[in-house]
Amino acid sequence: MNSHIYAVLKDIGLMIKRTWRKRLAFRLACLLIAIVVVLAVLGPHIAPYPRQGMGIEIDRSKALRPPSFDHLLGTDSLGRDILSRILFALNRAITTCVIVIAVSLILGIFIGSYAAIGSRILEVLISYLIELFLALPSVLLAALLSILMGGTYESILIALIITWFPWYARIAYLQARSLRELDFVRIPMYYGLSKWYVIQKHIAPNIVAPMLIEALSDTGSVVLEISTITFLFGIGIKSIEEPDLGMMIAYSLRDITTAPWTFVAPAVILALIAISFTLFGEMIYEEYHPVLKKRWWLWF
Amino acid sequence: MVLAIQSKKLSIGYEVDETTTLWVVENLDLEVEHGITFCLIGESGCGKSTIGNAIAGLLQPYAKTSGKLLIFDRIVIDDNNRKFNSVRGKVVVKIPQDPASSLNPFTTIGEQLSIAIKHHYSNLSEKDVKNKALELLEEVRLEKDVYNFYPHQLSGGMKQRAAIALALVPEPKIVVADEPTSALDAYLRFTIASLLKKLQKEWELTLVFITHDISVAHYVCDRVAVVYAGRVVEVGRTEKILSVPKHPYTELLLESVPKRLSKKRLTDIPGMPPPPGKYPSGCKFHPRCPFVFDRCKYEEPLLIKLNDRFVRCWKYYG
Amino acid sequence: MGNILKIENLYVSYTVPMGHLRYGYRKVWAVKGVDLEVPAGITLGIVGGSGSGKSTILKAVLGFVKPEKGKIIFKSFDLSKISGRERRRIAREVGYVPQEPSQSINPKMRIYDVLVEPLKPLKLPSDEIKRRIDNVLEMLDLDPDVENRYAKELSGGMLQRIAIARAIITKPSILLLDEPTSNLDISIQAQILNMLIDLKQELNLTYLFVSHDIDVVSYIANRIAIMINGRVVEVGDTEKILTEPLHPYTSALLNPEKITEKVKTSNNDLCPILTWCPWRLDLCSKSFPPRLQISDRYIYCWKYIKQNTISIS
Repeated sequence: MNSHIYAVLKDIGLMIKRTWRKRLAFRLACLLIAIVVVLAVLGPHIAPYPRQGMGIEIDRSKALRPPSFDHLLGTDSLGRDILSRILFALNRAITTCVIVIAVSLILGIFIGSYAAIGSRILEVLISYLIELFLALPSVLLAALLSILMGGTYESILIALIITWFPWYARIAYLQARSLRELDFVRIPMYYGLSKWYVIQKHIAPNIVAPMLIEALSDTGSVVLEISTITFLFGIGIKSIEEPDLGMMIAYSLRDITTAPWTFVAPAVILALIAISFTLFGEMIYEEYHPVLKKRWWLWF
Repeated sequence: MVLAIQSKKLSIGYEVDETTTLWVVENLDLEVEHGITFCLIGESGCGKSTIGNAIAGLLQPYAKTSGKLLIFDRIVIDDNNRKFNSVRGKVVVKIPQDPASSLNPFTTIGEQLSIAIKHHYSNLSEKDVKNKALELLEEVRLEKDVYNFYPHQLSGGMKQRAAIALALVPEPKIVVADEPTSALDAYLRFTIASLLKKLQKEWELTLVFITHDISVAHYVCDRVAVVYAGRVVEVGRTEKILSVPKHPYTELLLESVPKRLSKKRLTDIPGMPPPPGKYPSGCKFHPRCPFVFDRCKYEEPLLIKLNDRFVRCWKYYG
Repeated sequence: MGNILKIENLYVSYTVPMGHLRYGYRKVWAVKGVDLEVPAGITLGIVGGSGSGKSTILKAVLGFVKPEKGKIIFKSFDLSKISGRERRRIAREVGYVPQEPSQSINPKMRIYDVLVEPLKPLKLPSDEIKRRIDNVLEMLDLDPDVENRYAKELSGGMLQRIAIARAIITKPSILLLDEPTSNLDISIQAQILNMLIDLKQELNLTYLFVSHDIDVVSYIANRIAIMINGRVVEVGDTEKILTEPLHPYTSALLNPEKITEKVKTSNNDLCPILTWCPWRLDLCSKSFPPRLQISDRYIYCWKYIKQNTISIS
C-alpha cells in the first residue's frame, strides 16, 4: 500500500507542477500557502509575546494600542499582542485543518469501501446514514455537536471530522461500488480473504488518487468552517483566551470603530488563507477534471 | 483498372523525442484496386490498424510519415504533409473496432444519423433527412424503431450495424473496417461480415478489412495481405494464400488456428512479435522462423513477385 | 467414474431497470432449467453466443450470483445452499480463470502477491508457499523472475498465464474457464490452449470451458454443450456433435456462413429458435421440450421426441 501512496503523491506532484506552469493565480496561491504554512509552523516560536499569544497572559494597561514598534499589529481589548495571537491562531488552524482532513479521509475511505463490499444490510444502513449527514447543514451540525461535547477546541475538531467524513465516504462508496464487480476484487473474496484485506490491497489503492484531490481542494473550506463556528458560536467561556481567528474577529467587532486594527489584521489573514487554499484546491481539482475548465457551471 | 489506394514507400511512425522516431510501418508499397475487398491480417501490434488509420486520414497530428499515399490518384500523404480534408469522411470512412465508442451515448441513433446527413447534404428538408436515415437503417438490416433507440439499448451486433450505417452516410468509395467483428461472438461475426460483403457489392465499395480472424478474412475478402512488424510479408488472392501459404509466418499462423475435426496439436510460434523500436535486423521474423538461414539475419528481403502472389522471404529468391 | 459436478434444473435471474427513467424492475432469466453433468477427468465445453447464459452458469457455481432454483452438486455439497464458511473451504477445490486478465488481476500488484492470495486462508508454512509458487510458474512456462514484476507491465498472454497459475495454486480438482482465450491473439491463444491441455493431464484436472467459438472448444473439449438464450439445447461428444449435429441451432453454429438472414431468438419460455426453425411443430409453440437421451447424446427438441415415440410405438 505504501508504494501506491508514493506513486499517487508523485502524480499529484506532477499535477501541481503542471498547474504551476500554466496559471499565475496558482503560483500566487502556492506562495501564499507556503508563507502561511511556514508562519503556522514557526509561529509559536517566533511570536514576540508567546504567553500573550497563547492567551495565558493579559495586560489591560496596554489595551487597544494601535500598531507600533513594540506591537507590530497593535494590541487587542485585553492588551494582548495581536501579532502573537495571530501566529498562534494560525498554528492552531492549520494543525486542525490537517488533522480533520486526514482523519476524515481515512475514515471515509474505509467506511465507504466497507459499505460497498459488505453485506447488503450494512450497505443500506451506511449509505442511509451518509445521506442523512450530508443533508444536514454541516456548519450548524458541527457547532451543535461541539457544544454538546463540551465546547472545547478539541470538540470542534471531533465534530468537524464527524460531519466531514460522510462526504468522503460517499465518494469512496461510489468508487468502490464500481470496483466490486471486477474480478480482481471478487476473486480474493471468493477465496475467503477478509474484507479488510480487500479494501487495503485492492480498493483503496485504486480510489485514493481522486480522493486525495478532493481532500486537497477541501482545505480552504475546512479552515473557513472552523473560523465560522468559532465566530458565530464562540466555544465556551474559557476559550476567549485561546487564540483563534474567528474568535478574534468576533471580539474585535465591538471596538471596530475605535480600534479597527483589531479587526483588520485577523480578517485579512483569514481572507488570505481562505483565498489561497481555495484557489490552490480548486485549481488542482480543475487540472484533474479538465471538463470543468470549459463548463464553469459544473462546479455547482 | 482504377487504383483506389496506392502507397509508395509509405512509412508511419511516432516521435518519441526530438531525435528519435519509432517507425511502426516501414516502406509500404500497396496497391488496392477499386471495388475489391482487401484484407489486412495480423496480430496485435503489427501495424495493420496504423495502416488503416493512415488510409482513412485518421493518423494523429503528432505521427510522422514519409513516402506517398494516393487515394484515387490524389496525393494525400507526401512525406510529412498530410492533406486529407477533401477525402476524410467523404471518400474514405472508417468503421472503428469498438462500436460503443463511435456512437454518442447521449443521442439516439436517428439523431446521430441526421446530424451526419445534414452535414454532408446541406440542402435536404427535415423529412428527406429522416427518410435517408431510415433507408440507411434498412440497408444495415436494422428495424425502423432503432431510429429512436439510444446506443445502450442495442446489443453489440446492432451497435455495430448502426456504426456501419453512420459510416455510409457520405456515400463513400472506400470503407476501412478496423476489426469490426472482434468484439462480437463467433456467430455474429459472420452476420456482420456478410452484411459488409453485401454492402460492398451493392455500393461498389473498396473494402479494407482489418482483422486477426482468419476464417472471417477468408469469407469476406478477395485479396489478403499478411502484416508482421509493420511490413507486408505476403499478399495475393485470399484462397491461394490461406490454403497454400508460402511465407513461414503465414504458415505458422494458419497452423495455430484450431481446425474442426483435426486433433493435431496447434503450433505455437515461440516468442512474441517485436514491438516498434525493437524490430530485429534483417528479416523481422527471423528470430522466430523455423527456416532461418544466415542471410535472413542481416538483410531484409524485398517483396518478391511469385506467379500468384508477392512474398517477402529469402526462401523464394532466385 | 462419477460426476465431479452436477447441475440440476438451474434457474438464474437478474433484474433490469425498466424504461428511460429507470423506474421499476424487470426480471430477466439468464439461465433456464439447465442440467449438466461433468464427469471427473473430462473437459466439458459450453458453447453459446453472448446472452446465452454460459458465463452465468460459471458464476452460479462460484457463488458470484445466487440461483433462484436448482441444485449445483459438487462432490456431494450443494453449492447453491452452502454457508459462507463452507464455500470458502470449497473454493480451494474449484479454480476460476476469468476472461479478461486486466480485470482479474489488480494491475498495481506484484505477481508474487497475486499468486499468494489464494493460499493465504490455507495458512501454509512459508516454504510450502514458496514451493508452490515456483512450481506453478514453471508449469506455466514463466520465468521465476516474473514474481517481482508488476501486473501492469505484462502482456495479455502472460497475464492470462498468471491467472491460470493462480487458479491452480490451491491444487483444485476442477477448473472453471470463462472464455480464457477470446481476447488474445491467435498465436498466444494456441500457446494457452496447448498449455491447458498439458496441465490437465499433469494435474489430473477436470475442465468446464466456456466459449463462443466452437472451433476453440472442439479442440480442447471431450464433450460439448450448446446453449442459447439461457437453455441447453444439445449435449454430446465433440466429434459426434461436429459431424452429426442434431439440433438446428447446432448446425447453424457450425455453418454460420450459410445463414444469410438475421436470426431472431424469442425470449420467452419456448424454444429460442422457434421463429426460424425449419421443423416448427405444434408442440414447439406450447412449451420447451424436455431432455431426450439418444445413446450418449442429450437433445432438447420436440422433433426427436416425436420421432422417438413413433419408433417405440
